[in-house]
Amino acid sequence: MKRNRTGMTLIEVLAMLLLISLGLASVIGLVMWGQRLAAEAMARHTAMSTARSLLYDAHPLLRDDSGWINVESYSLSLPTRVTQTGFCNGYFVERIEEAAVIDAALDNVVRAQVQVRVFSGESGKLLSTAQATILRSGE
Amino acid sequence: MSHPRHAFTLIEILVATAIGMLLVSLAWAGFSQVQQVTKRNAGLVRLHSEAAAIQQALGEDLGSLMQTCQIRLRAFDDGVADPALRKAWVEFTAMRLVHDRKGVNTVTQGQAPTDQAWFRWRWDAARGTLSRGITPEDRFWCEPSDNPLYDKNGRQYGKMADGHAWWLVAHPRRDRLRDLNDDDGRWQPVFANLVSAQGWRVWDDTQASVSAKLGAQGSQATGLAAEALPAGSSYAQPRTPGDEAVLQQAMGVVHRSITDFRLGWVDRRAASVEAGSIDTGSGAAFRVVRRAPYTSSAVGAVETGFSSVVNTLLVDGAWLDARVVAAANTMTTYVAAADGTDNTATIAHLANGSTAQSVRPVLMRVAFTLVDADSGVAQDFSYSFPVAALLPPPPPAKP
Repeated sequence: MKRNRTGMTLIEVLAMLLLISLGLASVIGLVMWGQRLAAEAMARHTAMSTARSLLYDAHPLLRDDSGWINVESYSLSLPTRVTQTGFCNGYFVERIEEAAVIDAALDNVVRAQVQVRVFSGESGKLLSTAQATILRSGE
Repeated sequence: MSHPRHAFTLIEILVATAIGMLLVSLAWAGFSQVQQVTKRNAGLVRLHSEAAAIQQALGEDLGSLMQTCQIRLRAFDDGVADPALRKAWVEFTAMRLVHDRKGVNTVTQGQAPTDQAWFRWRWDAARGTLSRGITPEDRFWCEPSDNPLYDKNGRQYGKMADGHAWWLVAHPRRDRLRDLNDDDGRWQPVFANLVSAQGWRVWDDTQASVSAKLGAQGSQATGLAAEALPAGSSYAQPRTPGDEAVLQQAMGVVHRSITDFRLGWVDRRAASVEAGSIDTGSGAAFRVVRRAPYTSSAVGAVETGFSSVVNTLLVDGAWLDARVVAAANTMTTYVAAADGTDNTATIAHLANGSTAQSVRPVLMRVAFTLVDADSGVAQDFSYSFPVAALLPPPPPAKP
């Protein structure tokens, strides 16, 4: 039987709209994905420089609302482990410094092991880790 | 059966339009959200990129800081309400090592890889601009009198009367285990021979007397004293006649959208210095503060005399090892003059413990807030830079 059609049915129009919507959604998704990748790359770069910066500084210049706190106290006369947390450069940072007692033979200087971990948020993704041995003067 | 169709019915058109509009509205909302997120992300990426560039530039200067030279930290705000007339800034001036771009060190004639230059960072609070300047790095070379040297501004820069050449060689602390005063053997040759040198400028604007600084050099003090003071100047004010002008000319804007800027350092005793708009309990104001070493868990309290009035902190330096700087004058503070261009009074001399080198930086700190003009996003940044602990190779033998 021959059908004479000169237009589209409603179902066809709706199907077309659905396809167009899916296409647009895909494009939006790709753009968002690209943005996320760019932001993550930027985040890792900043996180690495932040981690390296904080390796040497237990008390960086931060605003009062950064939440930068010492979890444990610091001592030069006792074996020490100090954990510090807070936000720096837009990321959540955990800094752990462990040191033995001061060695007078080393000119009153402590060798401390420091590890800094930078996260995207307080319970977010780990972005960067840095560790080093630093000298802390007991003068 | 065939039934030809030539058009949609009204109901079909209405339904299709309604569904289409629904989809368009959903897509519009999605696009709008994507646009906002994209704009914000792009702004953040720009800010972090700019912060990385600023960090790198600051790190090159601050990480190469000369321990043996004068360091000056200033903060000032005249409080004028009109932004166009307001004077407010944070400024840091010091000397750093410079790697000669030509691969030849003009100080040591290629035998040492580093040279020295004064640098300055200045944040203008009213304009939000961060500027940086550095002097030409071949300024500090003295040659025999028959071969005078001219600097890049065409001025004769120094010559020796007795035919000797001599070197100013950077020798910051070797490492954190050693004091600054463990090596001063490089300065012996020629201070006494500078008496008849002409045009010599020494950036030496400290409160300490020249003889006090040169006490460890004995009779050579007279020579440097005669040369270091250009006619009409004195050590009473922290001014730098020749080098200041050169440095001012070298200043160039690095960034234009910084809404806050603080700079400071930590010294060997873990005491800290900071300049900027700081709230010490009575409201934020532009000032310089020095905090006592932190104790168990917190940053130390602000030292006496730094509560609100100090706008300049000067760490003495005479291009000499720190041990020839009198301990009582190692760190000096000033209050602001009314015109904001200089300082008028000394309010304190800080002995700061037992050793002169205690107040010199081992760690530089900087914090700033960047604002992205397109997206309106703002982000605080904070970086710390260990100060160079490397010792350049020894100078060449005397000719």
